[in-house]
Amino acid sequence: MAKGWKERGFFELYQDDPERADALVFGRRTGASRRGFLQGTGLAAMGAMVGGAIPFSGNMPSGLIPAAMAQGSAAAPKILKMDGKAELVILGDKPFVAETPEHLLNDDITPNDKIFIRNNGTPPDAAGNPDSWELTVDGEVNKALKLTLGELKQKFKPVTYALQMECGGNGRSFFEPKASGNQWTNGAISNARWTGVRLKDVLEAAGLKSSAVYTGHYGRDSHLSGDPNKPAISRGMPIAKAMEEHTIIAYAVNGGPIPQINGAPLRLIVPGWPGSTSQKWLSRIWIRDKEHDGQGMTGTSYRVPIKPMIPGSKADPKNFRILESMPVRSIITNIANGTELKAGTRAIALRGHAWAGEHSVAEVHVSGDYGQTWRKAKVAKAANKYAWQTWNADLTVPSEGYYEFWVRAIDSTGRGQSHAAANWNPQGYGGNVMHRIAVLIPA
Amino acid sequence: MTRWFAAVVLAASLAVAAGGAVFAQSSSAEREPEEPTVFPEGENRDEVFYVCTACHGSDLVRAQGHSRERWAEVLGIMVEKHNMAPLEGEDLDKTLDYLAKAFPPKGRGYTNPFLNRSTAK
Ligand code: HEC
Repeated sequence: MAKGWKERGFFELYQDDPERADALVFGRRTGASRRGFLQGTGLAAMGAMVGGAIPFSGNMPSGLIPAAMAQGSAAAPKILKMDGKAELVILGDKPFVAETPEHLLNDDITPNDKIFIRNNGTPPDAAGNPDSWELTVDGEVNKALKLTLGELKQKFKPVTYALQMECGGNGRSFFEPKASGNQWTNGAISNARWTGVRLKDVLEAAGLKSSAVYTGHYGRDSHLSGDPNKPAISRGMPIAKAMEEHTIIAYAVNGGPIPQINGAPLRLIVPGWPGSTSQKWLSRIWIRDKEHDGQGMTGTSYRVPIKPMIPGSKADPKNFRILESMPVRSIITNIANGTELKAGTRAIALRGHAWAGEHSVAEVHVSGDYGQTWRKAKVAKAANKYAWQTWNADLTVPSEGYYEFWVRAIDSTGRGQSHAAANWNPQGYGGNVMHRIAVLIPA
Repeated sequence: MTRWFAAVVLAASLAVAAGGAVFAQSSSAEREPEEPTVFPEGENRDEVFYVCTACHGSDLVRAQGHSRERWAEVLGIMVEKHNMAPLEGEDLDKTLDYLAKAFPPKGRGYTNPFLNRSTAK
């Protein structure tokens, strides 16, 4: 294939047929509605989606945003300026990815503007008439369904829960050596109040065959290569997870429409599991008779080693299992990293959230002396299963000076958080190091 | 420069021009332009830049730090999962040489948020 242009010369080929040249050089197959490079970039779609108002700012407000401590490089973070979104930290603009710094996650229920942004491809245009959005449920079912969002709302009982939604790669930046992918710190998490119908109810209406073992999800975003036949992402879950009470097909969040960039008008919320299972712009659920093998299901994607491997060495995909429940994590949210506290401060009230995938959080501890001594925090109950928990703790410091506050949580199975990211893997899943912030107390 | 690289540079310049227009429309704040100089200097920098930003932003590449072997694995994923046309022979070597030198394994590089306080204020 690559021979074609080597023989003919690229210039000639490009003049004759740009799309073919495009395909030959970059392997990029363009759809009928796209012409070569010049259209369909993630950024253009994004601009259209938010009404063209996406100015970026390259500079961080001094002393406000965790710099290299959080970001993992010396470069100042790029701050998002976008209608309907808070000042998130941009990790990439194509695909468009932005994380919510820990100190913007202080609300018990995450407001829409603070829900992080993760795309694997190019988002679709906003649906003109959301109620006519179509969802197909097919595969190993007695009766395949094709439902509009309007019908979905009419036929099934709505439920509303506060649900964690966390990117599978949250915490990736702390792996050593570096793992591939977006270098998330701890901000790929949200705990909004989602409204939708139970996936279980829809699957029961379709009637699962005894051969049904796994789901496969599809959305209307497109792969960055422009190939219309390649999903940007297509993951799934075992039927047992799909039948859980809290696994929902959501059409509203925090009492209103879902932000377009977060998957409007219809998306899955599969709480406690990697966010990639919570398909955005949901158009199809294919019930499979075997583990789903869509984009992002195989190799070392969204997987962790069964037996620990040498960090930085070559991965053997046979030694990997799918990452299901996310690990326990806790964050300090009421004080930003890099805050200068009032002179004379000795008592500090810390506050934040903790969550643990499918489990609950049993304990949260804080330290003001690099972990030499720890104090137990008060941990509140979750609003419902799969909601994060709020914790509060008091610390005192003996003098003025530079301090770091650390937090760690332990889940209901006894697993906690480590100093160094554990179980290294090339794409950096399952890391949950303790969150730390630095503060200065002047004399 | 091989003919392969020359071709890539031409094609990708068009993509950059298109991307630039979008920014000009939608952004009031200044933003680092998406051009080869955002990559560290090195042999074949421009060519690698254009190959690697055909589908996604340069951020995704710049945020990484890998050995040559691990960069080879990353390119393997680009080909197997993401439709990148395989690089072969000398082209592959040149690309890997550049990536390994420009984006080597790096530590977390903890920086004290107060370090530049006097200049930041
Ligand atoms: C044909 C399209 C295409 C080309 C060309 C391409 N990539 Fe990618 N790359 C992708 C897609 C799609 C993703 C996944 C994006 C996502 O899910 O966020 C990706 C992801 C990545 C990632 C993150 C890896 C991970 O595990 O998530 C790295 C690093 C990367 N690319 C490096 C490169 C480099 C270096 C080059 C140049 C040699 C390159 N890419 C060229 C399509 C491409």
